[in-house]
Amino acid sequence: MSEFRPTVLIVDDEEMVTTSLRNLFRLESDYKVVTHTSARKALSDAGNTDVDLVISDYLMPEMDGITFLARFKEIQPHAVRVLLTGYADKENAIRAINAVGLYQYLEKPWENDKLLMVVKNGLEKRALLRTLESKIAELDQAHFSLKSIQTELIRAFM
Amino acid sequence: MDPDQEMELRLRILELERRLKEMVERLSDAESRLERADALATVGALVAEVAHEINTPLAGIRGNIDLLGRSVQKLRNLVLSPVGELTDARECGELFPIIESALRTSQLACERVVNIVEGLRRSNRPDDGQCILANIHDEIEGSLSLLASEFKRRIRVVREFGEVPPIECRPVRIGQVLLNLLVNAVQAIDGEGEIRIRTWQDAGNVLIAISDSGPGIPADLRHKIFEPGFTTKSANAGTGLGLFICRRIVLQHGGCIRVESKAPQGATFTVVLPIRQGREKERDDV
Repeated sequence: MSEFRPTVLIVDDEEMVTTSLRNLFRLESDYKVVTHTSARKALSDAGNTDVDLVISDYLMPEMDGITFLARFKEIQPHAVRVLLTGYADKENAIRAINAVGLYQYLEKPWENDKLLMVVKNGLEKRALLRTLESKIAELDQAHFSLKSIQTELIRAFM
Repeated sequence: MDPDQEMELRLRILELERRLKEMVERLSDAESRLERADALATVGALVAEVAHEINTPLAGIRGNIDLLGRSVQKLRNLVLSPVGELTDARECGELFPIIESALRTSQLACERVVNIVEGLRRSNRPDDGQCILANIHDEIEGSLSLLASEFKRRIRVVREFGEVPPIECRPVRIGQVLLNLLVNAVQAIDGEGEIRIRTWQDAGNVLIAISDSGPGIPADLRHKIFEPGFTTKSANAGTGLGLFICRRIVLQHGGCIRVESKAPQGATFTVVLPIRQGREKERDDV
């Protein structure tokens, strides 16, 4: 069985940013990386690939990063959301923490170490949530089984 | 009038002439300083935009320098590892496309910063007061480059550049006029919109029309917009001197500025500049 490789989506209208980040992940991780320079295209493709973590620029021509992440959340609610902002957009980023359930924002120019750490922690959170979801599903199943046994027991004694 | 009185009168006239000349020089000096101050205020208002515009290539350069350092470290570890432990030449080979891509991206990012800085330098060139031949499209592009982040985010720029010859002008001052008009157009548009720039030649003039898709200028305010101190902007967004100075600069070049606006359908400012100086004609402005 092949080992699970998380998928990271990068959306920035600047190709120099998507290329730089793709290279960084290629060098320092085994993540599957998908990049888009168009937020609209990224949304139309969102149904095709399961994304574990999405990094979006704030200032983009088609829509801002908060709008993009909010729409992406509707399609893939479990993907961890990270916003990449310029210093001037910091206030918007802070607002987005609540508005779109932002996991973290990173300021441009970013530090590779910090970015790798944020992504690693975000993916760990995603993995923990995934485990939690599967445990909840198991518990639900166990609960359902117990209920059935309880019903059968009650029937047996009646 | 006796000779003494005549002499005294002559001396007084000479003194008055000297004082008048001095006052004209001081006035001209004050006007130049006002123009310069307006130019700096216009560029100053764009500092946040320009900083934002530099930030993206800077992020690319910073990230890629770090990436190159990491790649070199990995190469060093591979090359210097004891013989027999050198996993695979392929592992080294995989690093080269990353290094090449990082170098290429950094180069593009550097070029972008150079262009932005060039735009800033253009807007802050020393003006020696001399008229030289200048390409009006270069001046327009120089001004547009300073507003790039606004155009990227919400405003579409449509260029309808015609075949126009170089014009004899003070390029720094004409650049200032164009930047002022473009900043006004950007500020007039709330949210998304369009700015259309058209250039053409008509007889001995080059005309530049800048149209915005903002709300337009109400008819009762149209005659006031070139007056000093008139502004509809908030206190920190405008001094109320921009259009007054634009008009002064264009008049100094023997040209004129016209404004057309059918509120609420946006406004068009048309700058008319003679191709050659020294053949000034009577022109109506506004």
